[in-house]
Amino acid sequence: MFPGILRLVLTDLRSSWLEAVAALILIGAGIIGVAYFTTQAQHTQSQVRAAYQEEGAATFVVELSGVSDEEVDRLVAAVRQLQDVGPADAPYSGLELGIQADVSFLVFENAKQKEYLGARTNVLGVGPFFKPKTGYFVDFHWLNPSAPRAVLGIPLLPAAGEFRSPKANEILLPSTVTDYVGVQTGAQATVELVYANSDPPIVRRLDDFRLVGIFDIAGPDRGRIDPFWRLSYVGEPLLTARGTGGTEATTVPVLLNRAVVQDFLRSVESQRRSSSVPLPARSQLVVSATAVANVPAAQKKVVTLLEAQGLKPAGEADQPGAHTYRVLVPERNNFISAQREQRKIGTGGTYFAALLLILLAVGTGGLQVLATLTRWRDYGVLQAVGFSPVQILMVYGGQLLLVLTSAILLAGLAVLFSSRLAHSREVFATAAALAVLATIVGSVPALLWPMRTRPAAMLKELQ
Amino acid sequence: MIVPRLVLAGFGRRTIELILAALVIATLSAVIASATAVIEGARAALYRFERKERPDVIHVIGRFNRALFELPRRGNLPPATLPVYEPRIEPEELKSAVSNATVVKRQSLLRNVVTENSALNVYIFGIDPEMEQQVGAFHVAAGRFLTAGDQNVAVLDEASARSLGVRVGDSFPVRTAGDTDLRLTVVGVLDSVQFHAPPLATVPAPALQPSAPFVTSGVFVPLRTSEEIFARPTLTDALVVPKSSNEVPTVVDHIRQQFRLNTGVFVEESYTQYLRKVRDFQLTLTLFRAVSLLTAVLASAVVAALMHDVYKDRLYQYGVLAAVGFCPFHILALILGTAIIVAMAGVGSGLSLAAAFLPRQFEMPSLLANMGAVTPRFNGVVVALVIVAALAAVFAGAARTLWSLVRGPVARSLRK
Repeated sequence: MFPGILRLVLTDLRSSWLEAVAALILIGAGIIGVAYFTTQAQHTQSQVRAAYQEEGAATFVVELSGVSDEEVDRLVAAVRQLQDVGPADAPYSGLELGIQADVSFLVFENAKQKEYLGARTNVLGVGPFFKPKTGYFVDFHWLNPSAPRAVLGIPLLPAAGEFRSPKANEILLPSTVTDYVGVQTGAQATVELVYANSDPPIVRRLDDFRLVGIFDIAGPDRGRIDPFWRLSYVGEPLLTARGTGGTEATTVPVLLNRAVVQDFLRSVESQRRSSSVPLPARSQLVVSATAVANVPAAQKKVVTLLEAQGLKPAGEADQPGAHTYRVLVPERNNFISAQREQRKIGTGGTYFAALLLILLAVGTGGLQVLATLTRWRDYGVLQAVGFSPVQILMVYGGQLLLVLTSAILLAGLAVLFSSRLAHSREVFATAAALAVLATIVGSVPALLWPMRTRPAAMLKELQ
Repeated sequence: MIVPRLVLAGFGRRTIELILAALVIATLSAVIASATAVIEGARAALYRFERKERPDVIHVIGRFNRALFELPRRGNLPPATLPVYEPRIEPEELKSAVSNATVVKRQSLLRNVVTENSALNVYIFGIDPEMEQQVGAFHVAAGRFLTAGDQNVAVLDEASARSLGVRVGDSFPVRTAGDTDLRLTVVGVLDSVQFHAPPLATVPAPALQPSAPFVTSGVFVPLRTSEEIFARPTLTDALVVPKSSNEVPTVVDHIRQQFRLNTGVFVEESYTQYLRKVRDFQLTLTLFRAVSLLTAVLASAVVAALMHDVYKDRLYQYGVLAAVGFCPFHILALILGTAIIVAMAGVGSGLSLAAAFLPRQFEMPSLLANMGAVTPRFNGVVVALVIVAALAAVFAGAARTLWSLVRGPVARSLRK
């Protein structure tokens, strides 16, 4: 019986090849459409993931307490060796240490007087592992001691010149400073490091710093600086006039080599030996995981390492000087937000894919109705000559199966020629399965429809 | 009665196909409407963010002049007559560099207004009133804003007006570069000022927002008046607005090229940072656009196939009508009438479906821009697109039949 039915299937297909080819193309296009959409959705997700990683979503901060400056360096070196951990650094942040920088440039000179334009900003001492775009974090607690411990990542974005960690006689400046003064890269700057938490403030003047790079800065201060004009007469500073801003410390930094800041801190320490108030110490480790998804694993490994070194998780009632650590996830741009945003693409993608599949079901249903109506007479004849409804279903169901198989093969062939349509076998298999399911759901009612009509009624319609 | 029968009756079992075509159009319309409403909502969110960030505005500024001239002046020091920025930007030179873009010219000055009892620093901005309002917002509390034909008049904010002790209709003197006093008549007082790319606040002066690091107040005068005060047409700064944000990098290059020999001119743009912020949002939007297009094409093909089958089956009837003397125009109207009725029935149901089931909020990723959930927008574009897609599909289905009737002899249609 089966060879006979198969012969009938093929003969019928030959007579209505145009409809069969149309259905084949539609289903094939549907499979390719779903596969292409899934591929593009995954591609978009990976692009977004890469963008988030580039923006620092894979970075987290560990704040240490009661750990000496040398010990911090040793710990950060050990963290870099951990699996799942990428670059790690422990920058010197002026906001934490109470240091500010007055950076100025000579803008006018005659025999007696010299005029400088400059700005007071935060200072950041960085080493070769520092990543300007993702490595600068400000703890709200530094700005306001009553604020909760929370860190905000402030990206430094390249604007002009070189964008790397500065050497000992180099400096990188925010564009608000360079635009205010009117200087380009290559200019010679004078830097005055100021430790303001002593009376009088401790100041160290450093000349001939070469401006190697300029960066734009995002963040809460929107590039806010405290500009000043300075006049010196016969080599002696005479007057410094500051603007009205700058009553609060700005988060906008200048980038200096870490050794410069370290030296200054040592000199401050030696000058303050008699002071009872201890000098604030560097406490922040900025750690990047190798990928956004690896952040939890990297955090665990860092915590294990710190605990192995005798540090304990920080609590509210810690004694001053206790060896503690606190892992902080940056506000807003962190791995949790990154994963949540990525999931939105998946949710939106599912919505659109569902619409596509509904359309495929309705579309193939329509084509099946078209085929059924074209063969309406054949159904009546087959039933009249003794075919049972199941056998008729096998004939036309077999045709649909053949069309489906050919459509999958056609789509597979198209995918072989262009990997952009489906980047993996799994994607193609899923797309084919979903498209076949949608096709069957859409077509079966139209296949069953003639079975419910009596042969006599069908043959009567022929007259 | 005959016309509706000719348009809608006599399809036999093909009525099922017509109903199904309408159903597919309904699904197609629902899909296109949902997708377009989401995309329109996303575009609107992006547009709102773009209006807020203004990545299309390029700021060209001269370097700050030596701060000596910005010092607060007290006692017997004479009034100063020099600007905040060095005037390095020749308007014609800038215009030639950005011929296809809009240039908003500015002269930003700092002046002492000296009265009998006091001297006060004020920022004076020479602006093109119409252009400036396209990039900033000025809310007038009393009087009016500047107009293009104004001369020797000023609009100032409430803080400056209070400090100067002037109201609408009063006047006050400003020292010009020619060492003469120019009297400016106040025509309006502003209670809020959103001045795009204001200069840094570097001297004590009246301010609407005293803690802001940039200038939040000032005296706004027409450019012609500021040129008279300044005694030169050279600009201290300017805003360049290209026709679209995408042109910003090219325009910036042109400006840099034009002023390459003038190291005191700086170009600032926010387009690069804007792109960084909306990258994830734009990528997702592109994906959804591609899927919607693909869906529309697929569904239209199905509708066209169904309609073609319906019309093919009815070709004989059209041949009979032609043979009994129906004019081709009437037959065309019958064919298109059926197509339009089916399309409109589908569109109506599809739009209702979409309106009923479309999510009220749609989540799109925007980590750095923080744009929040997108509200799908059901607007004219959505309806127009749905109607166009449905009509295109049904007309594509009718095309071959129409072609046979128009080009072929009637006998061929009757033979079928």
